[in-house]
Amino acid sequence: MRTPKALSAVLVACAVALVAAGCGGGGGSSTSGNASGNASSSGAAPQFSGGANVAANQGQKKGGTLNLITNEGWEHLDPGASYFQIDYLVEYAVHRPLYSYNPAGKVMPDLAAGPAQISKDGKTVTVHIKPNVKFSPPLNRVVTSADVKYAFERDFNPNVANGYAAGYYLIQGAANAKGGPISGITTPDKTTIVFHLTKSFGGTFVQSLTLPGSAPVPKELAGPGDKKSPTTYDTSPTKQAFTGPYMIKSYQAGRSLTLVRNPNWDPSTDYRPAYADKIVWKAGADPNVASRQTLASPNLLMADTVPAPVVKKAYQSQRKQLSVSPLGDYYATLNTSVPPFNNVNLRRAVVAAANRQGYLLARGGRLVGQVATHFIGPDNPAFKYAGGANGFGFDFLKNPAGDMTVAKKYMKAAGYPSGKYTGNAKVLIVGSNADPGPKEMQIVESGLQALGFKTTIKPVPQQTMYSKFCGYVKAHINVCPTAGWIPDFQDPYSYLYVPFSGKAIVPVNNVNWAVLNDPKINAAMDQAASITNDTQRLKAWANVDKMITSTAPAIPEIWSSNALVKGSSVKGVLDVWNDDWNLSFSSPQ
Amino acid sequence: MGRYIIRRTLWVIVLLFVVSAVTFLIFYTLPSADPAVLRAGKQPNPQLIEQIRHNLGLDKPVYVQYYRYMKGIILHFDFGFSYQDSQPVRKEIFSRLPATISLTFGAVVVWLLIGLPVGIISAIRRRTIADRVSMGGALLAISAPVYWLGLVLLYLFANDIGLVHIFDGAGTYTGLTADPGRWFGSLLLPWFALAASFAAFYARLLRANLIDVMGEDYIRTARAKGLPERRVIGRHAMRSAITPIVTVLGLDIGILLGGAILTETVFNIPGVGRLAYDGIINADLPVIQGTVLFGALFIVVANFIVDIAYAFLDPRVRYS
Amino acid sequence: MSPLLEVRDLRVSFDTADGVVHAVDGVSYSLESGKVLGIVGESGSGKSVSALTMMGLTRFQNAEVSGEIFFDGRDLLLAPDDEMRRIRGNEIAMIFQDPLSSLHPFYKVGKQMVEAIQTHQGLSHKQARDRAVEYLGMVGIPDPGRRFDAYPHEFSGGMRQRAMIAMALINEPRLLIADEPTTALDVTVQAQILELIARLQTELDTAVIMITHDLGVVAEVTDSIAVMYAGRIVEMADKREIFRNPEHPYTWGLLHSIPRLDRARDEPLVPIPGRPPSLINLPSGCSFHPRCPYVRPRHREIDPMLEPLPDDPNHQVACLLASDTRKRLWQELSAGKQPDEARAEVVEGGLT
Repeated sequence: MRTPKALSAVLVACAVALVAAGCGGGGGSSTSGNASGNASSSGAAPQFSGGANVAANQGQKKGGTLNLITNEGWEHLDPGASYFQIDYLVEYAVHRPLYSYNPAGKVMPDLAAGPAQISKDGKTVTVHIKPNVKFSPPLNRVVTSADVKYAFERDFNPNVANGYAAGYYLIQGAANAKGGPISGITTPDKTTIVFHLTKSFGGTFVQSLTLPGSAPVPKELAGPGDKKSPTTYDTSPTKQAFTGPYMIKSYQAGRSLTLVRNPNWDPSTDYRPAYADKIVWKAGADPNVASRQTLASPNLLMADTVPAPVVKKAYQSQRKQLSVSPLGDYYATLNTSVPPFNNVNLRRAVVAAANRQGYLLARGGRLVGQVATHFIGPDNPAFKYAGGANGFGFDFLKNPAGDMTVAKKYMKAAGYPSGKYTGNAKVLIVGSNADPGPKEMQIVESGLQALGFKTTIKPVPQQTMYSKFCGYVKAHINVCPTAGWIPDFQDPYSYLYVPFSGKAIVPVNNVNWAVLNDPKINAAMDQAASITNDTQRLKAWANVDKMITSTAPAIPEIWSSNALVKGSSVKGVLDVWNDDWNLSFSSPQ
Repeated sequence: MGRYIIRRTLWVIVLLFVVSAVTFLIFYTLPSADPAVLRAGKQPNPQLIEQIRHNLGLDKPVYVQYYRYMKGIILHFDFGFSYQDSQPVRKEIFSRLPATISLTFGAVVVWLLIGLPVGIISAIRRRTIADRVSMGGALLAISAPVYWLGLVLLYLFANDIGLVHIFDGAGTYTGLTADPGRWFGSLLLPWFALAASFAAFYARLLRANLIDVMGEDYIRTARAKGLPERRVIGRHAMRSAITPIVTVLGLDIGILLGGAILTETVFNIPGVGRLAYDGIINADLPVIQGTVLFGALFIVVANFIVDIAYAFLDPRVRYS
Repeated sequence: MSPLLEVRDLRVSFDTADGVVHAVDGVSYSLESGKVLGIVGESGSGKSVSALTMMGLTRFQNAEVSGEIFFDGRDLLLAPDDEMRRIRGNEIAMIFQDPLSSLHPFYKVGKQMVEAIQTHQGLSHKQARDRAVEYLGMVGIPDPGRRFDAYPHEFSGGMRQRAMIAMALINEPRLLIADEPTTALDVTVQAQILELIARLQTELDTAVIMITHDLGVVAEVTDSIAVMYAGRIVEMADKREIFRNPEHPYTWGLLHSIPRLDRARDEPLVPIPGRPPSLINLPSGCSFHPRCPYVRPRHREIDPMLEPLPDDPNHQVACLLASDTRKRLWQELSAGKQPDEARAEVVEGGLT
């Protein structure tokens, strides 16, 4: 998720563009403190943090207008199509999915009346919805389970073009529905909806119900427009039926958006306080200007990436208006399907020789994150089970600046007693030609050359990297040093499955660049995804992370952070899971 | 003249066809994002991609896609939908035109009000301090990138992030009909930022033209008739010196109406240029195509108007 | 009665990047009302510059001017800009060489004439228009009421020059300066234009200075002729004297470089050898000496003065050859001898 605009392998693209293009948000130092606390003990530079109070409760008051500013505009405000970080700010203020995260990242029943019931086999999920939630004017009617059912049906409609439904909504009969009825969804009564899944996936499925795709959509309103491509429910968002505390009053694509209170919203049914009476958002601002305007203002919230010089300035003189929190990770993939890196010890040697500290510096130093020791980052609840910042203690990841002694040990284990690679395979390194891609390619190359590999560097445009090289399995690219990932929701499934599961490999637009297809890991992922108990599931995923880290399909580079700035007196509340402001909790005073 | 206008209009249409075809070809030849994948999101489900491809008509050969696109424009004046945010491109362009027009024509007024007097004074006070200072300043203004100049103006004079709070800053643009006062205030800095290099260029151009014209025989004649020097320069010399400037002005206006991308970006003015920029960044073909066509239309129409205007300005020019 | 125009020791120089150009280097002459003076010389001889200075037009070119130009008793060189402007186009008018480039291409001919009238006379637009139409008719432009609204490029070359003449004469100036008025025109039109100037000059009793490089032109219309070379007058006399008894070798050269009907067809024309001198570094002594076929060593050192002939005070010449020698050389040349033969005969025969 948090896709930047127009990149083919959307997720990867986003993560790669994280620092420069602004997919990311920031986060509260309060929530990331536990994660960064131990970082120095692993030898990494201490993480950079802001000083703004972004907690859920800051003594906000009701009333007034909340003002936002961004560089990027919105993509899709249709709850069925929305798949972009800043779109989510709007979606969760105007729509109520079955579940949603509160600012601290806890799953809350939203339209749902309580926790979902998951069958023992993990293949059936039953959700009861609140009986008294009404759609906004002019529809003014009570939401029923049929509206949720229709929302799921349209998630599979190509005219709506949902980006994640096929990945998470593993519902029977959904894959071929194309917008028509889905056999695996039933509505026994007006407040009950039952999902029949294709496999044991219930625990993870319930987590994915926090995405906006589960928010109710009335068929009588959206149905006719859904037959057009693109659907008019997306092109005219002011005409949607809203269930959240706000309604979209006016919308000018890429320019401005106004939200006003939804008169049919009943606070007694919702955990959201909805302080502001009105929310005015201007997009299209130059990031340099917008971030300075925000720092100079009393009441602006900037909802996208702050340029590094302004982050520095804010850190020096306006720390109370700066918030930094972790988001996603970066890594350099080693193709496990072709020589030379189909040898696990050779991969470990490469990881050991890598100067990961150098990557951090190439990306912008501690402004942008900390050196990673495994793949699940501090933004995920499974982080603490995965060893936190120290990781799993593998010797080939101990020294962030690289350790040639350890590297030599693994070279020997791989069958190269001299510590130098003597095979015939040549290593092709492909990366983005946009900064810092070339620097990262050089860093990985110098590590490889120290181990005796013959290397070729091929810098290409980012789009080409996805379509013709790293994302094109048959291209057999050995090393892709500019990969990155941001999860879709708080469950580790969305952190690890697509980048590392053999079942997620597709011939084109592939995201598993390491082409890792380890039956044990695949099975462990499926097993973890099927666990319904949340803590158990997180622990299982932490173990999957350990297995992946151990097989070294990639060099973990950094866990990244993103910065947000706010005006001096506005009370901005951070959504930890989305790393951006929560409009229903923030208040102008 | 009538026949000339008809012929030129036909040429405009042919030209727009060529521009649209070339844009289409470039888009499909150069590696770029697959619009269907763009819409489908990450774990690309091949069926969904196929379905989207079909719905967007992307499964057809390029020439069929082009034919459909042009048919939409010609029959319904329909420019399609943005791949990025699903908005109808025509609506987006038209709703953004007032901002671009406001920015362009305001800047034109500013640069003419500055550039022309400076050019005249420099020409008639050639090699004086005033001339050298003006032309030196003009060289600086021409070299200053508008993005940089825009930021400097904001950091100095904007009433939110400026050193001294004088003018409305970025993102304050208001429509003319909504509030004329705010419209004017919000555009002052952008006008100056955009006009600076043009004013400098026009001053230099006018100075050079005027110096040339002042050496013409008919200027000697005008003086020999005993005309006051003010009239010699103001009427006889300016009339000739300004004519080539009208040509340049027409084209500059045409180009800027296609979008003053950098100025619109720095000052967050919701204009066509910003739309074009977003379209390019996002590989959003319908937006690129629509803005390119509109830009091309403005340029060829401006060219056309310039040619007609030339016939009125210079009686020696006749079209048939 | 003093003459209408009296020029005394006029000197004009321009400071250029290459050096100081001495365009006019001590010129004196006078002209009475109703008379026509021809100023003849090659291009660069200073004839145009002296006329432009008279009009005050060299003031726009940072010219260094000295001497005196008395016009109707006033010294024009001392007149303030504003007074000069009132004189220009009103009391002294000028016609230029190339009528196409000298008329503003973007304004109608009639409008340019009306502008000339209204600058100096408080006439209404209607009156000014009538007057302009009248003058266009007077210079022989057919259907002047319609042609009033034509642009210069819509006229033929001859018509344009007629219009220029009409515009110059429209305020009935007392002095008309015609600077190469026929050079850009073809021969038949040349004659018509000269005739026109002659006729109007008589009708309006205007004094005329006719500047030309072509003695054939001045032969038609002038009363007296001044021959200029390198910024100076080298010979000045009545027209008849110049043609019958020219005393300066340069004048002889000019006379022999024009075809004449009273000479045999097969007689070769003799162009003046060499090129006009640089006005920045003038030759020492007589500035014509590098091109003079009859040059003696001392001519390179002594600068000749413009002096009246002993036997004719109205005929002035600046030449270091003895008057007798000059007369004999001219006889030889008139008899058809080439300059080399004449020199052998006369100069190297022992005479000086």
